[in-house]
Parts: sequence; C-alpha cells; structure tokens
Amino acid sequence: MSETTTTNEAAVIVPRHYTLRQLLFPSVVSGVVLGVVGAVVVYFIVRALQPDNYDAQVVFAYTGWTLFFFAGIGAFNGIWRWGFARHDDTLEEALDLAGKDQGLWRYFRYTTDHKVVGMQYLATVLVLFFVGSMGAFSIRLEQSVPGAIFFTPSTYNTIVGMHGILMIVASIVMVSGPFGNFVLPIMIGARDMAFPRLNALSYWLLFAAIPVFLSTLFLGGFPTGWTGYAPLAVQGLTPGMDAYCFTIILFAISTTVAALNIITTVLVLRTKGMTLARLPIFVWGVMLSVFLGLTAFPSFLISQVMVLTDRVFHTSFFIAANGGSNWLYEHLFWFMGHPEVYVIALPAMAVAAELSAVFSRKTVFGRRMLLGSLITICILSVLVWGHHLYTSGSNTALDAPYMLDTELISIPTGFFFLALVGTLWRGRIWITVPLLFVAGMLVNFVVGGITGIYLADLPTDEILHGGMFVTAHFHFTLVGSMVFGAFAGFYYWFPKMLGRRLNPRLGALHFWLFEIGFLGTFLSLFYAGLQGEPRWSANVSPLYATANLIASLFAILIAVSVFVAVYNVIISLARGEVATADEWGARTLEWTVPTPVPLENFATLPEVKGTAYEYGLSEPVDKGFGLHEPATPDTMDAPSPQAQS
Amino acid sequence: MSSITAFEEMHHLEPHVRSGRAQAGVIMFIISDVLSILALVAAGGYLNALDTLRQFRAGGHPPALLPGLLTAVVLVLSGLAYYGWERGERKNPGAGQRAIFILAVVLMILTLAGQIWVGLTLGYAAPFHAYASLIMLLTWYSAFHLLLAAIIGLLLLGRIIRGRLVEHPYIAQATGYWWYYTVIAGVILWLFATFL
Amino acid sequence: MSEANIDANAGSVAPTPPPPPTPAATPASREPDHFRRVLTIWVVLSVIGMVACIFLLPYILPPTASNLGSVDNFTIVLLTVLAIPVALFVFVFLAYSMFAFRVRERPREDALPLKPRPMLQVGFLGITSVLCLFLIIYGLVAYYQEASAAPANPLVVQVTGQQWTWTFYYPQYGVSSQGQVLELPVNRAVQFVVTSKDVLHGFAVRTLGVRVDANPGQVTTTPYTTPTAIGQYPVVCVELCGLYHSYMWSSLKVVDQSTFNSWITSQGGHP
Repeated sequence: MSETTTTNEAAVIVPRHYTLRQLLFPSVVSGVVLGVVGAVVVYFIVRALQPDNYDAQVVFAYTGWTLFFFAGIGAFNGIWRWGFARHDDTLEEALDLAGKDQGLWRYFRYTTDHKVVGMQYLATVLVLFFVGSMGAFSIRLEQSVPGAIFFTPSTYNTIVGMHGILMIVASIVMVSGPFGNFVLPIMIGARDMAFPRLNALSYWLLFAAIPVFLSTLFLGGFPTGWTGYAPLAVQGLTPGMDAYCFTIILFAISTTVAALNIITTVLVLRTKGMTLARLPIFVWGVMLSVFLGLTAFPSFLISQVMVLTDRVFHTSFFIAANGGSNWLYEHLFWFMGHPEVYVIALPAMAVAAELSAVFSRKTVFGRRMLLGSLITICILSVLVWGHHLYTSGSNTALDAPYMLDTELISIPTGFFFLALVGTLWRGRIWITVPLLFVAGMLVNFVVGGITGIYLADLPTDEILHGGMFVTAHFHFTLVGSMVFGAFAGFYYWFPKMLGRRLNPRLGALHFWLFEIGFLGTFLSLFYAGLQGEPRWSANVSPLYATANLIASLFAILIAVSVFVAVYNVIISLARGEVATADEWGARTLEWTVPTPVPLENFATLPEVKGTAYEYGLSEPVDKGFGLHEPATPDTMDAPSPQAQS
Repeated sequence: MSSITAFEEMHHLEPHVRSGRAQAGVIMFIISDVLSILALVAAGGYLNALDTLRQFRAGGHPPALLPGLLTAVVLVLSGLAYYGWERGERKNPGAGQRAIFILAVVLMILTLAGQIWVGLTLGYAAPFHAYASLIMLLTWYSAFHLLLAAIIGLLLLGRIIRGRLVEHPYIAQATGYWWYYTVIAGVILWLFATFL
Repeated sequence: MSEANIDANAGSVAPTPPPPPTPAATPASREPDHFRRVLTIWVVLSVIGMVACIFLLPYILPPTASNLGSVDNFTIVLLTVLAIPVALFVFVFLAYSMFAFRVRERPREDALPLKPRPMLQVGFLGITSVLCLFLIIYGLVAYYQEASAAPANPLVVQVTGQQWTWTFYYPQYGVSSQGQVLELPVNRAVQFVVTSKDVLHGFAVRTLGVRVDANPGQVTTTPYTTPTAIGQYPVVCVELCGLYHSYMWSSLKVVDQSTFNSWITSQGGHP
C-alpha cells in the first residue's frame, strides 16, 4: 500500500490510493446510518419499557444516536487502539487519520488535521448563521404588524428559541472554531493541535448535536426561548424541550474538549522563540476565551442535566412545590451565561485588534495594555452573573456588588477601544473589507457597551429588564460587534484557507447593507424598548407598531446582505482570483506558509525572534499619543540591517 | 544521520512535549469536572438554604451509612493500589508490579458495582422532592465518574499487557491524576451526600 | 521605560521577511495638526450632542406617571448625556483616521510606531474610573432611596401571575380585581407583593417604574412607588412564560381617591 524509504535527504512517502469503501467506512455516512439505527432501536426498547414517558423515550433515543453515530464514524477506534493495539500508531496510520490523499472526502470523515477541522467548523458556522438568520427574519416578519398573524404562538416561541440558540452556538464557535483551529496552530509555529483526535471529536460533537436540535421541530418545539428557564422547561407539554437540553449537553462537551485542546496546544506546542510574551493577540484572545468557556460551561451542563432529570425521572430541582427553585436554574444558567458572552467577545475583539495593526501597517497601540484589558475582562466576567437576576428577587443583598463589578468591566473595555483607536491613529490605513468590518464593530460596540450601562444600573434596569432594550443591547454587542469581528476574520483568512479572493466590491456591499440595516433595525428596537415593549412578543401591541415596522423594514437590508455574502462566497470559490500566500502583508506566521497550506504546515519549523507587530522602525520611536515630533533624519534611526534577516 | 521529514516531525513529539501535553490535558479535564461537582454541591447547599415552601427534605431520608461507607473504603483502597503501582513505575518504567495495577482496576470496578448498588437501594419514591433529587443526582454522577475511571483502567491495562507503556512513562503519572481525583471527588461527594 | 514590547535586537518574525520598512516622514510645516483638529471636532460635536439630548430625549421617552418613573427618566437622560462624549470619542477618532490617514492601495511603507505614554494610560484609567465611580455611586444612591422609602399609609397589592393572566388582590380591603384591570388611587404610595402559581413571570409596569419577577413558591416585592398622573397604562409580563406570554396584558387605571373608593365598594370591599 504505502512505503517509506529513508534516503540521506528525506523520507519519501508514496501517495496512497483509497477505495470508495475505505472512504465511506468509517465516515459521516456510516456514522449517520448507524446513529439513526441506534436511535430507533433504543427508542423502541425504551418505549416498550416506559410507554407513557415520552421524554424518556426521546432522551434515550438521543443517547443512542450519539453513541452509535460516534461508533459509526470511527471515533472509538482511536480509544480502542490506545489501549489494546499491538503497537503505537505508525506514521502511515497517523497520516491516514489526518486525511492525507483522501481529497475532499477528508472533510466528511473523522479527520484529525486541524485545517480540515477548521474548514468543517467554517462550513457549519456559516450554515448555522444562515438558518439562524432565517429565524430572525421570521421574527421580524411576525413583529412587523401587531397581533400574531403569520405564526401561531407556539411556532413563534419555537422560532425565537431556535434563532437564539443557533446564533449563540454559532457565535461561540465562529472565531475559535474555524480560525482557532485552522490558523492558530500555524500562528504559533506548530504542525497540528496537541490532541488531534480530540479536535475531530469536538467538531463532530457539534455536528451530532444538530439533528438532535432540529428534531424539536417534529416534537412540538420548545416554549422557553434560548435561555430554557425552568420551570417552564419542565412543564409537560411536548418532548421538543428535551431536544434543546440534550443539544446543550453535547455542545458543552464539545466546547470543553475544544478548550482543553486549544489551551494545551498553546502551552506545549509553540515553536522555538515563540514565548508567551510574543504570542499574537489573536492567540491570546482565543486562549482566554476557551479558558473562560472551560470554567463556565460545567454549570450550564449541570443545569440542563437537572432539567432533563426533572422531565424524565420526575426529580424536583426546579419545582417549587417540592422544594426546588427556579432561582437555582437562573444562577446555574447565568453563571455560564455571562462569561459566555465574553467567550463570544474575546476572540472577536482579538481579531479586531490583530487586523487593526495589519491594515494600519502599525504596531498595536499599547499591546500589553490591550492584553491586560482582555485578561481583566476575562476575570471580571466570572463575577457579574447576578446582574441578570437583579429583578428576580433572589439575593437582593448582592445586587450592589454585582452592579459594582458589572460597571467595572467598562474600564478594561475602554482600554480596548483606546488600543484600537490608537492603532488606527496616524497609521497607513488600507481600507479593505476586513477593516470595514473592524470599523463597524467599533462603532457598534460603543453603542452596545454604553447601553449595557443602562442595564447594569439597578434603578434603570428595573424598567428595562425583559424588554426590547435588552434585546437591542445584546444584538449590538453580540451581532454588531462580535459577528462583525468574525466577518472581519472571515474576509481576512478566507484567501489563506480557501485559496481564493473574495470579491472586495461585493464584500463592501455586504458590509454596508449589513451595517445600515443593523443600525436601523436595532436602534428602532432600542426606541421600542424605552417605550416599554416586552421581549418575546408574538403579539406586538399597537403602541410599538411603528418602531417594529421600521425595524422590520431595515431587517430586509440585512437579509439582502446575507444573500450578497452567500453569492460572493459561491462565485469566489467557483471563479475567484487565486490568492497569494501573503495576501495582506501581515506579519503573523500563517502568511509565511504557502496557499493552499500543506498538510505539515511548515517545511521546517520557524524560529521566532520578535512579535508580529514590528511595523515601522526596528527601534520603536517613543512619540507618545498625538504629540508627534517632526520626523527629521537626526531624530530617527535608519532601518537596522537586523530587521532584514 | 538521516534527517526526518516534516511529516515525521508531525508524528514525533519529543518526550517532554508529550509529557506536558498529557498533564495539561488531564489537569484541565479535572478542572472542568471540579466545576461540575461544585455546581452540584452549590445547588444542594442553595436549595437547602432556600427550603422553598419548606419542602426541601420532604419524603427524603439521608442515604444509609453502611453501603456508602463500604464503597468509599473500596474506592480509597483502589487509589492506594494505584499509587503503589505508580511508585514502582516511576522508579523504573515497566517495573511496576502488574498485579498491583490489576488490583487497583478490580477495586475500581468493585467500587462502581457498589455505587450502582447504593443508587438502586436509595429507597426514594416518586415524586422526588428536592433533597431526594439531589442525593440521586450526586449518587449517579459519582457512578459515572467511577465508570470513566474503570474504562481508563481497563484501557491502561491493555496497554501494559501489550508492553506499550515503557516508552511513555508519563502516562502512568497523568492517568494517576485522574485516578486520585476520582477517589478524592468520590469521597467528598459521599461525605456531602451523607451529611447534607 | 514604558512597554518595551519589541526586543532590542528585533529580527524578523518569519523566514521570508517582509520588504524593509521605511519611515513615512512628512515635513512638519506642511502637516496639519491632526490631534488638535480631531479634538476640536470631538468637543464641538459633544456639546451639540449633549445639548440636543437634553432637549430632545424627554420627547422620546414615554410619559411617566409616578415618582419612580420620573427618577428613572431623569437617569436615562443623564446616562445618555454622559454617553455622548464617550461614544463620540471613538466615532470621531475612528472616522477621522479612516479619512485622514487612508492610502489608496496596499501600502508600501509601514507607519511610525506609536506607544502610549504612561501618563496617557494613567489619565485614561483615571477618567474612566471617575466616570465609572460616578455611575456606581449615583446608581447605588438612587437604588437605596428607592429601597428605603417608608411612606405613610401605603397601599399593598398582591399580584399573582399564572399562565396567562394577572390577578390583583387588595388585602387591606379584601377585594380581588376581576378582569384585567389594576385600579390605583393617585398620589398614594403602593407596593406590589408578587408571586406565581406555575412558572416564572415578570410583573412590569413601566409608567410606575417597577418590575419584579413572579416566582412560584416565593414572594417578591417591588419598591414603593406613587402614581402621580391619572390615566390608563399598560401592565405587561416580561419573562417568557409559554404560549400566550405576549397576550398577558393588563391595564393600570390610575384614578382619584373617590373613584377608587367607589370601585372598592363595588367589588364588595370596605374602603
């Protein structure tokens, strides 16, 4: 089959030919087939034992799906071999797992190559965003006129919940998944992630969760919105709620595994000279984000396990009549829920910082200040979850400390703005599509951040909580800032990952339609929230009709922008310009490898001697902010020859 | 000397990198699990303090002392056996007494069986009030932990029998972290459940 | 001194180095003072914005009908006025940079590195901390004023939420509100004591400036609030509680004392 011959210069690895049967077994095809079979078999067994407990039937069916899917895709083979194989994996076996010579099939198998996993995440994230935005447009459609006209209240509540959770899942993985996997190892000078098989596992867990989640549509949907509040979540009604809970459990495991992997990779696989101090900001952002996720997601997992046991086994964690409490759910949920928005934010903020340096050809303004602000945000964010419970009646004595800590987060966030504005200031600004999205992110993040203050403030939260003001606030932060940051990264790394250039005019059109539509939609919703419109309104009151109609009209622009982006991706992949290896003149390591990136990333591992932000002179000239001394030859050093080697 | 290609470099990590990788991975997995347990324990304490409608303990009695105690003892013995084996491994890779390791695995499986027995004989009746719910969840969460450890033990046993441990001395140590963690977490959960 | 984030003998990061950087120098006499310009724009726009805010915002905010509501509306105006210079700081510097420092094509030269002086960082920290501290103190003071109010002869209304309606009970008069109306006398402090029969609901009366969750098995209270204007206002549910959450509307009617008394009598109670 394959041979390795070692010569004096190099070992020669002969390309391997795969038959279709070898490619299909194992693959996602065999995984899905076996998973469905497993789910059905388990379902019938449990139905025979517990004919009246629909929740038990459904939850065990999901368990069967998961276990058999992973058996079918070959996930357990590695575990089995770890323990019982006669010999450690050979080079051929490892390369086979990494997808060598499998062509496009490698994207449909349990492939360990981090670039493959990154592409899988990218495709999945884009699909999740697309489906989630269809949900969003349905919501805007329903809310454009008073009364519940287009959807029944049950369908509408499910749409709201689906939109919420699909978007939250997508935005958690939108930067760390595609770019944290594809780009990050190259950026630190590694050949792969620390745990390649766990890398594949983290992706396929996300994949496995999607059919579980979509099954809610056939099981009556779920009424709770994405927050899944108990005891509404525990109320009988339909088994569709179980789909939501189980999805979260799979997703929490996926993010935990991914977090393990990313952190270990950054800790142990950095190339020579890449000290922690020289790590690119992007790597720091992703690492802080996944560490936050590692600490936050267990409580989310436990909350969903408890909802499931309440539903399936009739325990009473959240049933007040039996000594449970909905406040328990709220604390468990928001202990995750608040750090989670920073899990979403930190990578996107890091991407924006990274790109602001590249596209102003200038070192980051206060790199250590910026890193310090990201770390401070990370730490503070764990302590603020109580601000989601200001009006719940729980622990009112702690409201003041929560308010204090929540307002404090604005200080490091301010430093983030200072760093980015200072980087752009007096730069040589190349206005590309990624930079447009960075600019849009900064504008939107200001509004999002400031409106957060209104909600952090105890008295005003009392009139704004649970209203559209909150919705507009978190859309400005999560979408206007973080999704914009992810799109900046998307346009930036697309040429490296896919080898083609995205059409810049279409990209700019995407940006402007998105930004104008976004501002129009959500500023109108701020207005509606100030008037007192509640959230989750299938039946919008005539009081808020005008604001909602305007919001829905602007949302049409967002919808058009989505299709512009999709069109751009399709035609660029089909007949776009071929991209160069160094598309933007950036200094991070991924731009030093060829496009398309070879399986081993680097021919020889690089040795790093400085940071990626050493634009300009080799000796930095300390001019201070804005007080620029004229650049005369005797105050400036000529470029040092060392900068050239 | 033969130079190794980039492909081979992909496959061969240096021993200190492998060791660091194993330890980092296991430690972070432990951190994640600790936080899950903290969530459970905090939930228990919180519901106890709230005592909504004074129904927290209704219909629930503390678990019987003896079964849990026996199980906890067997668990601790398993941990000690693993430690005995690991010490031998550390002194001289491959020299750890295989019999002691097998004892550790067997004791862990016995603990798992004991925990399942504890779970099945808790004796609560539906509908389960908050206290009973909590004890049940803690019990089966513990069982899940033990199952994980038992599986890892069997896998490691396979590796030992195949003779594939000698080149990877860090595995015994890294697995040890998880093994001792399972023991400690199990004992703590047992104490919490018995004395809440 | 300040952050030496670049090694003294900085070499290139990558095996294939970028083109050698050359400083972009412009003689001082022809170069506009960007910083002074941008500061001027910032100050002018901030003043305009703050003034506009003070005059226009009260028209955007909904009419308020209670003492708490007035305080909340004032707070919103205050926060917005303070926010304007903060927001404009980013908008103005960003927009100015994008116009003044742009290059048409991929730049051939790097820009001069700028590092923040320690004084800038300290100053920025100081200003943001002062702002933050002001907001915290203001918020805490307002909150404690709300929470510690102890008016004479307050009206107590017990609110029960259930899927999907509100019920109001006046324990001091033994009266239950039939239908969807919450009737209150003007200029008398009222406190709501809220609970739920099934799932989580959110009791919110925007014009009274109160909002609290209705939890099953627990009782929560709002601060004391005093309706100040006669009229009809919405009472809504602000926690998703299932199918007809957005239909869970009631009406607040603020009436004068005599109308209220006759209403009580008509419901079978004793005023």
